[in-house]
Amino acid sequence: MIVVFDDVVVAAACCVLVGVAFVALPALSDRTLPLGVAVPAEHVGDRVVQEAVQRYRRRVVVLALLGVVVAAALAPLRDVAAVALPGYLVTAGALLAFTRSRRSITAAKAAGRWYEGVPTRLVAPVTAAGVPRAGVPTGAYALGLALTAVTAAVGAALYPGLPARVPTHFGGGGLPDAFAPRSIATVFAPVAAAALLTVAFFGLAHALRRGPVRLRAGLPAHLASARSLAGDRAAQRVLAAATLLAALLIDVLALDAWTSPARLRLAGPAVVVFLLAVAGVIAASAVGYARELRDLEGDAGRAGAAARPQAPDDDRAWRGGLVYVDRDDPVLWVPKRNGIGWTLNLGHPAGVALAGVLLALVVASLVLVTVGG
Amino acid sequence: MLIEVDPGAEVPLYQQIRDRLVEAIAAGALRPGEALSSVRALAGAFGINVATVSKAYDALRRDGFIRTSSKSGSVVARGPGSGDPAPPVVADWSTRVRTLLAEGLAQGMDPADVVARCHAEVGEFVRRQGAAGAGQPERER
Repeated sequence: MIVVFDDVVVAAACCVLVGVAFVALPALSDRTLPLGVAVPAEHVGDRVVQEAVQRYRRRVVVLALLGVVVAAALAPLRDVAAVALPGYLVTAGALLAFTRSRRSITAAKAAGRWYEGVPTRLVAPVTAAGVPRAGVPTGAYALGLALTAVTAAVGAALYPGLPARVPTHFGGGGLPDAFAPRSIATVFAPVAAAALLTVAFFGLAHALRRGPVRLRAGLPAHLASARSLAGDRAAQRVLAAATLLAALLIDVLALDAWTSPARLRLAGPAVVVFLLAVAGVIAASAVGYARELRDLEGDAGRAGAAARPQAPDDDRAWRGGLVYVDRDDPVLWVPKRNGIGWTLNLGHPAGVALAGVLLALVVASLVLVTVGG
Repeated sequence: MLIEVDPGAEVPLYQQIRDRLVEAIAAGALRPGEALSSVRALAGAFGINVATVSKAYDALRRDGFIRTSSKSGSVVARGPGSGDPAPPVVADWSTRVRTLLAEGLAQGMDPADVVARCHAEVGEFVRRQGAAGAGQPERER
């Protein structure tokens, strides 16, 4: 049995996934950081805060639906750009909705002087032992490498039977649009990239594990550690699962190109099930993390956290609530303000350089997809 | 062990870090030989300038509370059980206690109240030392 994904289905699914991720964002954040605005605990339940979050979510839902419509409208073009574009549009729109929806909170906070008279603290572990950190899920990276090795072995077996000119790029509908003479480099480049990617992200996961933690004031010490560990664990899980997913996609496409060079079939049902399982791990980590945050909030409430000093108003360092810029902060990666993972400190010289490289990579991948490689 | 500093206070951050660490040592929460975060790691954990933490550690080192080596980083050098301090340290401390007590009396505080507060503060540190000692096994060094 062969499953063929229609381009329009993939494009629409991307829009829906992006929409779901952005709708879930407020549930994956501290309640004192609604839409990335620092808010004292006593104002978390204010109507202006609740309404801003609801408005943001409504806007994202509308954008995702619009994205699906755009995907359907672009379908007749049968172009790879038509597959990628709607998802990018929804992402850009959702980021805009985020920055616009939070303005009412910022305005109410300034007008009502919410932080005036609120005692604030910075919290940090002072011993070298620090606070507990989440381990790197080595098994996921090992599995990615093992499956890539298996793919390479299959490739080696298929190699003698491959045509003299092999496809190196596929356009819309999975039809090849670029070819190169058969060689070790042209045939095995994708699996080599998958292996390299897995090793690179394994290294990154370890580097991030050694980086500092950020604790937010307002919680008793044991809950502050638990809060940090929960975010850390969710981020490590998602990073590992996303790396595994990316490596597998490359492996599957490589297998596909070797066994069906005339037209990509995009994998058999078993592989689809496996990819869905990995995506499910990411979703489950997110749901588990959201639940952990709610539980921690309950514990904090029972421990009288509302009476404790709060984290200071650090909105100035978070442009639009999304981009972190603090020249005094010596750290390159900080935990994201909303959602799971880490973000670059653009106030750090290396942060600017790294952001430039990442942006160049994204642009390059877009150009490769749209113009063809 | 976590410490808290107040970014809005008039007391400079480096002074607050220094004071919180001294209090933690007095309470037995930090014991002689215990390794502290590196200057960079602590600055990173707070999200503040490295120079601020460096200044705090310099002050602690000057007063003998910590020692720093290239091998083991900064470790706690003194504690409630580490014996009598050197005479100049006691002399300097006495001068500052005199000023501090004078401030209370100059503000019109009842002398008996001043003494009672001294007793209460010292008693609290001793109580916490006992709790910290019972809670964790004796460290080496």
